[in-house]
Amino acid sequence: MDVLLLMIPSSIFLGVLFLIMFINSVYTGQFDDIDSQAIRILLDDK
Amino acid sequence: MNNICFHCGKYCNLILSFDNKIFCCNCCKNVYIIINTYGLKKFYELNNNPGIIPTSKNNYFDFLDKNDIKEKFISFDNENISIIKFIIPSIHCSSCIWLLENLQKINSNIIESIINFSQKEIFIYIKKPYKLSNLAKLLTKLGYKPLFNNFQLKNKDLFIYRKLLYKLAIAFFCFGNIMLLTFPEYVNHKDDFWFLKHKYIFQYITLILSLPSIFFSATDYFKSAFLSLKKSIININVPISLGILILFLRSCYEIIYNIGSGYLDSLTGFIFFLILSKFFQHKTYKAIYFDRDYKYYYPISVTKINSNGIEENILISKLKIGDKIIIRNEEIIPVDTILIDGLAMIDNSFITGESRLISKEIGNKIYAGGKQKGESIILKVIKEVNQSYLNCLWTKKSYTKKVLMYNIINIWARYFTLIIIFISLITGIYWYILDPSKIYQTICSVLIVACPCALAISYPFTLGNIMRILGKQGIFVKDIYTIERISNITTLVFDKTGTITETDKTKIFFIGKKLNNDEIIYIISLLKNSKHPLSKMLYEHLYTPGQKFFSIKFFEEIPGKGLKAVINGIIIKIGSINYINPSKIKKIEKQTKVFVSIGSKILGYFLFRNKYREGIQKMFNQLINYDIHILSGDNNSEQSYINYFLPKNKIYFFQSPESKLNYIINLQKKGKKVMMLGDGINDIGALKQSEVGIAIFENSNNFYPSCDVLIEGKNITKIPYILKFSKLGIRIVLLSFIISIIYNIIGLSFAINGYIKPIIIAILMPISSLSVIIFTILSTWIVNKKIK
Amino acid sequence: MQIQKFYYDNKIVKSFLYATILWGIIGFIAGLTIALLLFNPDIPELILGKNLKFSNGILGFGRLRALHTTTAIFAFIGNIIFAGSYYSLQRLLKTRMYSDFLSLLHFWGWQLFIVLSWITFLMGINTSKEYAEHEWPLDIMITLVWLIYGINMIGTILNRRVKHLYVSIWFYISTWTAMIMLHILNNLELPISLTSFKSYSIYAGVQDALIQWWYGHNAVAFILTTPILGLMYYFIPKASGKPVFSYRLSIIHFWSLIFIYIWAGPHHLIYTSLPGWAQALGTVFSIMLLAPSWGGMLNGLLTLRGSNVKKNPILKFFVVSVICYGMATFEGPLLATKTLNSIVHFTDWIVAHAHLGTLGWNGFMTFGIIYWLIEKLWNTKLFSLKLANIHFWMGTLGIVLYIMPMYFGSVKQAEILKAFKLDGTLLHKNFIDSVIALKPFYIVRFIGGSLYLIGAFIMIYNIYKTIQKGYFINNEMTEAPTLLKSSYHNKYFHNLLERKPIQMTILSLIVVAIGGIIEIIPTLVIKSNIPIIKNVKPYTPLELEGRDIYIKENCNSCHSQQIRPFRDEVVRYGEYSKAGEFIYDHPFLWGSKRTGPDLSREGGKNPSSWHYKHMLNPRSTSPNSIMPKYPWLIFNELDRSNIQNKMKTLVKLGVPYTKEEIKNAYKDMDIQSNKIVLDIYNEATEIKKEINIQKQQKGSKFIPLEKREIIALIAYLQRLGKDIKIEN
Repeated sequence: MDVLLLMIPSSIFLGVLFLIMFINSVYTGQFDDIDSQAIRILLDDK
Repeated sequence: MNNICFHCGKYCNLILSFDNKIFCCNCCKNVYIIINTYGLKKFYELNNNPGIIPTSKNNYFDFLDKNDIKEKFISFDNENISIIKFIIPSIHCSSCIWLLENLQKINSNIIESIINFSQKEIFIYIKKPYKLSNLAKLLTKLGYKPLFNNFQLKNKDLFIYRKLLYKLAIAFFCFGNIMLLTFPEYVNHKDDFWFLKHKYIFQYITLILSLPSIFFSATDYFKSAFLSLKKSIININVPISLGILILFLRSCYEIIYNIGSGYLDSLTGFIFFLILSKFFQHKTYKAIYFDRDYKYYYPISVTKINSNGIEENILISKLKIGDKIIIRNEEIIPVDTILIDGLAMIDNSFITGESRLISKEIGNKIYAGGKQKGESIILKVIKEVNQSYLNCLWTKKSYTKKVLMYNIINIWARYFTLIIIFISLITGIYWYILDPSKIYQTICSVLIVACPCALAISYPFTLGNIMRILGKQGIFVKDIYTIERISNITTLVFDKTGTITETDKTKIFFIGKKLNNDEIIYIISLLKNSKHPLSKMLYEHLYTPGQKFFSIKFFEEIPGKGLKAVINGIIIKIGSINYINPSKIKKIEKQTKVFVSIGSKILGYFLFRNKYREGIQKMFNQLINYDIHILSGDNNSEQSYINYFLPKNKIYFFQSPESKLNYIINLQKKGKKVMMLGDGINDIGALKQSEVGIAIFENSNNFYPSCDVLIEGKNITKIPYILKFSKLGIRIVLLSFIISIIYNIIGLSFAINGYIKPIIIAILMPISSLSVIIFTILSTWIVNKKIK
Repeated sequence: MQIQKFYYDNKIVKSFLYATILWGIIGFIAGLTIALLLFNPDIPELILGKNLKFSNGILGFGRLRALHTTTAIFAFIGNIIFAGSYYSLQRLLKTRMYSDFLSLLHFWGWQLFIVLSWITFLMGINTSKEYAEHEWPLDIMITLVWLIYGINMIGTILNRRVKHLYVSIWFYISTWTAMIMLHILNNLELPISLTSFKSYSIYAGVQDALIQWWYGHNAVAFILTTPILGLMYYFIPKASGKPVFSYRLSIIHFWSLIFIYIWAGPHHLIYTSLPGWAQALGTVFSIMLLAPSWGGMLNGLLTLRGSNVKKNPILKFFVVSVICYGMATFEGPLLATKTLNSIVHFTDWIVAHAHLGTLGWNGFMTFGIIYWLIEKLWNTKLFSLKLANIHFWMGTLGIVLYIMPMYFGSVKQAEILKAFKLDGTLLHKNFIDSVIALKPFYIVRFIGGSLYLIGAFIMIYNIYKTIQKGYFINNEMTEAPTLLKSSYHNKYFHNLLERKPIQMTILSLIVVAIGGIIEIIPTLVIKSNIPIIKNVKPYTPLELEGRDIYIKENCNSCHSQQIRPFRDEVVRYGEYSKAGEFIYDHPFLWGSKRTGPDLSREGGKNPSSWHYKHMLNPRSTSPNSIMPKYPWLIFNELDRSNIQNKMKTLVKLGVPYTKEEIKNAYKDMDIQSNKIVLDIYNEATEIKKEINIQKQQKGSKFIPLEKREIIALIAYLQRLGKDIKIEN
């Protein structure tokens, strides 16, 4: 079961990585206005 | 033939056809050509009649090119580009986003435009020498006129929102991982040799993971608790902080001295739920601000006439006493002034709530806040903006603070904290007698178990959900505390005009002999030539499509009095009684009446009366248990009418803003909890003073005073429902308090015996929190369905 | 800042799209073949006739099964993920892919990897770990190609002209990040030499099982779920012309899904030798997964609400796909509960569950995307809506006919195997009773699969016609303004410099993680704290070779080696399995499905001659058996050349072979094989006669029975479970 000592840190690492990415994207204002985003992807077709 | 403009959807007088489509004016046609040329045809599929006729003159936006004004709209600037931020109220659907984000296809000076849909903001990247006035013109042409009011960039809300997001994410992450790592403790781990051996690793990781949750996510609770203790008040954050600290310290102790595994899962879960509840109550209605300054409704600039007669746009804040300014049709007068030229027809509904237009003569004083209707007038400034009447009214500091220090949750918190301290004391004494070695542990357990998690989250979740449900129906509540205050209301005070009557809508009655068709044609032929607002209203009332007109001669309009002309050799006069029949004794007319005479015969008069909102009578019937008062800034012309459908209530006319305010203060002195409903700036004092101030608005970008609750005009009849819902909401809160107290009692019964396992807390905590959350959300939902 | 003209790379999307279709068909055919083998085990003989024994097992069931799963997952689904993400990334970020060269390298690298998988698997080069059967050189290749994909994607994201990362992109990022970590960690293996394909997993037994299913489940999560969700959130709104029902919900869906998914793996190991707390963890997390999964499912369905699904076959595919996602994610947590798991684990229910996900959720999403992309990329309308509708209905019927019999069969199987007589003995002592009962279900399943395949052929015809009608633009021109490095709120203007702390944090985190792994792995591998059972000894050299043949033939795809602590299993197979029994198993061979009986206590149950005859023709010893024939094992000479390398490698992984043992390996092998051959001859003289005939016929080319593969396999089979067998 020692393999858990590898799996647990890896999982937490992955979690921390995503947490940082989330915080970074909030910081850069990506989640300030999410109402327009869903619509915007539909508008690039001519 | 269907003469409807393809672009703006209005009836066309002048018909321009292009591409087999009809347009009412060149502007509309041009926009169509622009849209069509750039392959943006989809716009018309998405949006029927998207355009609005540009009403303004060509130089209307020139003020935007003034440097000091321009700055207000620029949110980023370098040598080549500027980013302009406008607020565009008419953004409402996906086609708006689509067209406005394709601006660069329409004008090559625009690089990009980004819309923030929820804020109704547009950020436009323009190439440098391009003028703001041209940009504004382009937008207006497309039917998206920007708002040029005196707003300020408000980013505080955004910061709070972001910070809450960080806290929530970190709390969730910590909670999730700690739960994972603590979980093995609860399921037959004792059989597993490996786990027992490596338990400490799991425990230390949880300890590390708990730190961000406690020292970042939960800091607000500590701060609030500290501040309130400093004022020697106990609010709910005191027992919460106490609980968090005890749980954390105890867990550290257990882990470091290898006694147990601590309670970090419960602790971080608790923090996560707390922040979630905070997130729940942080539902702001971004498009609407509750604390708008009255200046928000002022134009950003005003046209000043320099000494050499040149017109110049300047910022309102730069106005000085003695300046001459021009106010055009539909513009608001920003300072106290004296009329020096032109015909002033002032709509003071903004200040007094009275909808009647008041004509002013040269030399008369005109107060700030009035709106000019009709031709341009020239005014002389007599007071600075900050000293104007309106400003004095606004900044009057007689209002008591409404922040409820003694709301229901804090009252409970106080007793709760005292009881817990008492119980832990008793437990301490009990164990001192029985087994002194266990004192520390049992007191700790009592304090841990007593942590008022469910108690703390039930209030924001219940009231937050009520806020949300109300918001969906066009009833915007400022915060959850307002809902608690609504539940205590005993007395309702209504403003009349604009509140229980509809703004901009009047009923016109003709009092006199019934008019025959010819007489009507006479009247409208004359009215057609007048620009006076009352004439226009009357014209629209009488006009039927396909109407014939007579030709008129010798047209004459005497400002403030009436119209006169000769039709088919007969003199027609329309106007005030003094004008029609000067021989009559002068008397101040309370009602808005327009008299008509054909030849020498006075036919009668048109009576303009406010139109009461639909269902208003039914609403008053539902409010039978409340004390109802009506305060009107208007004259008492409609007293008999109101008395007819509100016989028992107290109605007062000729109320100035001060008298409205004093009326509320008097009611409060009698111990009444007052809810004030109003729509005008004249109600502002009363709205602020009352326990709950409800502002009525027709359009979220129009004027409404600062308030606690915003209701769309048509929803005013929902007042009984709001009152009932809030009352039941508070009952739900009380019920969930009881539920959470039961959980606490269960926990305490374990703790007092000096025996509490982490698993008991780990089960109690999420079950109590989740059951309270589910209970409150479900019950508010059910209650809403029932009383609706 | 200015408007820039640039070109979308459509060609790479086209390439991946073609690859998807090609591999999809191949994968379906491979699947159908093994489905057919399950009720017609003699098909390979029909094809190859007497040459079967010379075939080296090229048509062996286990090998074909690994090929089917690898093609379906990595080739079919993998390619549509790349096609869809290359298409949507460019448009969502308003930029061309970061590097055309990397795109091409990625494309050809991935196809080469799949071709090499086919070659190696057919040759019997595999590790037997499910969905990670590729041997170490291919594992390295996957890592490299995956890295290329990552660089290309992240480069594109950094070059973007749109500030906001649409939720689909988050799903792609998580797919990439999680997969690279899981793939590397699960495939840590030590090759016996750099010139050999053969390697041993560095983990043994329970540990290997844990990490394998941590990976296995997350392969489902991060290849078959998250990227497909990313595609769903892009292509469903695009195809229906309506924005996602709730964008907020999609964001919550993403963040909660990735945080919860990672720990659901142990639910594949319920009632096994894994410690109870780890099993319980798997169960709890699986049940928690229901919430985000259904949130996403409802979000997808509600997006389609109100659009004209009836008239648009593409939307029909999406609807059924999302419904299948909902069903599969509901079924998953149910299967993770102990109650249902105790009944249906190791049965066909698991197969049905997996196919509900791949045929329904993944397959239908893929078909929808293919049709939509074909129209877009070739600037035309579909050749025939009617044919697309026929495809849809055939596919749907195919899925129903596939799933339903598997469910019923599974319950039936459990019923038969768990039945006891009143006297306390098993009602059906012979496992074969359940096999016979399942046959009709297998046939219906085959029909379902065939319908699905025919549907796919109809699609190909339809696509061919559509492509002929339209025209393709390799580089589609478009324009967009560059992204100003500031966010549009200038107050929070931050240049790259200010952002560096975050990038630094991520970098240092990665460095720390790599350092930690390097430090931790050796300690994990060398010492194991699994309680050692004194009797459990390492495999003898011959048994080890036998075990490698077992792995080569993927026997574990039909036979488990894990007896669960239930009365029927203990009575049928013997004492339930303990964690300590597997400490020398590199890799573990617990299996996930019992098409045949469990073999953990096989040793000594049947005489060696029985095994010999059984391998030659299973139906001679067990009438009605559906096991294919393995004559090449009897015919082939055992390659003994690597045995010392193998033993030395295992010593590095903690198996206590002494130097003496390694030195005497050949001698030991001779002694043990001679003994087994003697046993066989004693038990069955006809075999002796047969071998003697061969000896006379072949002359100098004759391989003595002692040197053949079958003897090693028998040695291994006879060893199974012997260590802790209670001898009377």
